[in-house]
Amino acid sequence: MSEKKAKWLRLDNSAKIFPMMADKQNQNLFNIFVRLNESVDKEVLQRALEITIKRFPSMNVMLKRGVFWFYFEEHGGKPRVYDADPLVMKKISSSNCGGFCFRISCFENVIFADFFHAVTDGTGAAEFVKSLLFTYFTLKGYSVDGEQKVMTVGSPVNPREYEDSFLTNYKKKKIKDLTISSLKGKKSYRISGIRFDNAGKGVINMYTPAKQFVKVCREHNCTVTEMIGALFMLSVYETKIKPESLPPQDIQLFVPINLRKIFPSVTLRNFSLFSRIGVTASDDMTLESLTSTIHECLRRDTQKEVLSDKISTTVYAEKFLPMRILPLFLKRVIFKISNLFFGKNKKTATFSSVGVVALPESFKPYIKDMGFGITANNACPVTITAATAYDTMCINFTRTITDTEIEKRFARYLTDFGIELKVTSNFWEVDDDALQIL
Amino acid sequence: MRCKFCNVEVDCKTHICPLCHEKLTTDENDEKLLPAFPPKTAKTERKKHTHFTLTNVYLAASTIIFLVCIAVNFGLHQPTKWCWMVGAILLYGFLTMRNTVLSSSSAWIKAFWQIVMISLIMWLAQVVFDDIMTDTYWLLDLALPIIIMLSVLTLGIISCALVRRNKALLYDTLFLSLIGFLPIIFYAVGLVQKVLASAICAGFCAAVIACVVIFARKEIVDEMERRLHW
Ligand SMILES: [Zn+2]
Repeated sequence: MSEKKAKWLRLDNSAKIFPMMADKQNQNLFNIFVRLNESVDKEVLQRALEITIKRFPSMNVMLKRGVFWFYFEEHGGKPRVYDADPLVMKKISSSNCGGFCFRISCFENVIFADFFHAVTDGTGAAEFVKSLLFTYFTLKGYSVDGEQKVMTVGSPVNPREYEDSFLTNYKKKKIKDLTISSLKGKKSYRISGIRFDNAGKGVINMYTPAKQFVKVCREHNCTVTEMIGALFMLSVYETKIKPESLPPQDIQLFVPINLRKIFPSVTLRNFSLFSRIGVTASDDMTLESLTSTIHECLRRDTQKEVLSDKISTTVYAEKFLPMRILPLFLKRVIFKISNLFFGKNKKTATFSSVGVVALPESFKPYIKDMGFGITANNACPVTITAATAYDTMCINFTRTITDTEIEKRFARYLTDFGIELKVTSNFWEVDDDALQIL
Repeated sequence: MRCKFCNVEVDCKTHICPLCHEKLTTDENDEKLLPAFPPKTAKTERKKHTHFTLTNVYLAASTIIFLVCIAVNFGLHQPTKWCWMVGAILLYGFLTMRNTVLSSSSAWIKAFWQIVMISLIMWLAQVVFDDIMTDTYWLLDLALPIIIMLSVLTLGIISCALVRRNKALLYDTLFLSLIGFLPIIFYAVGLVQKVLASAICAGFCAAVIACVVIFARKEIVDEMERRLHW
């Protein structure tokens, strides 16, 4: 955003859909939580946030409604650090976050950073959180070094950091050459269970030594992503589908793919697409068969040509003339109606494998562990995310149903492999009174 | 703390296992553990069941008032059915609260709905009190132009006062001013008989548009660019 030009940004291609889909309770949110080795100093964090936000022009924005699309306008104010809300990933509205599309909050030794997906994806958010931590540690007087892994406050802002990489990687194609079908899903099993009232969500985090996990994966000749995906599918089958003796069901995982690894981009805004991994659940499923299915699906969906086609399809949809000239409120109505009819039961769960977060070694004495979480909703009642920081992998389960059967079964698989697990929870499923008495 | 049933270590301050909810056996090292999430308080729970929101209280009170008015009005066999006016004004209050005060819409959209709502109330007054008000032309001839002018004036004053903080308001004023030509269009198609107020309204709004365009052309172009991008 140069000084002379009007300070506003178009939403990137995949962000355009998120504000349109949001309703009273649901919003595409994800969060990053960092447990420090000591209590968080809220005042210092507040100062760190005020300083850090200046380095990230694409975050320093508020969402506005235009005639045809939403857009971002530069935010003139200062973001605040809040006390963490017991309600995990509470909706970010203009009134509860001062107009920003993210929320930084803290509790005891944990820093929570919640993001509305319209503003960035996991990679962009991680860069922001790393920079915030760097500023925080520096202000605290700790000797930390960015080690070229952190966008520190003084570093120059590259205009490409806020480009829409979908547009820069878009190749014009004829409509008949596009694979619209690749974006559609099949009807799949939706996890059942008693829902929490209101926007309540249950969270369970499992922390495990990354080396142990990788060793087990090697023994089974698969990657960490394949292993977690396969174990999750097995857990869903054994705890939800098998006991109810349902007719054959398709389990479909919705897996975000970070396009920065395949296309040249340094953008801090959204640049990810998704792959669908589907299997028909049956007693014949084995860990080996599932890992190889996942391997095959991911190999197919991460080929450059396939992704390039998908990018072209989504950009084509955005540039489609009738779509562009439709006023925003009509677009929203159409999206909501089409989602009502076609969007339901297209996925069993969202599974995001973030991989290793590149944190500087100098942060290590101050950070206990770190994890990612994705919001769950009625259409997708359970989400699972895996991320590794230093030697610890955090597997996060976020759910809108009360029972913890899937998590319990998943943990059993890991412990049976001899993997050590440390578990935390927000105990949303337990009554207040029960928590007090116990 | 360990859960012997799940064979996992529990890494937050609690007495039960996060997975199976069995009671945990504690040892002295557990004193150091912190909760991983802010505790679910009675307050968070209670918030879910609040029905006494301002909107609900207003709705309940106005329904009661309206029903009482209907009972009195019809019970006493009064020829003028003023209770409909009371109902309309209460409804106006509700819509103002929802769509003007609590809404995040653009200022010109809020002002536009105000013009529509006030005009409808005036029309209803004409229908209800038709025994006193025999001439119906005042509605379009006089009331509508005045309401539009007052709205444009109000929004104009607000945007001048807040121009440093919110340049977008200038754009809203410009947009709203376009509605000022509606009465003169009505005159052209024969809906309005006495042209004076309509002409003044059109002139006033033209002046406002001219002022905005002359003094804030750059801001308006910027604002148009961002709001109308497609
Ligand atoms: Zn247990």
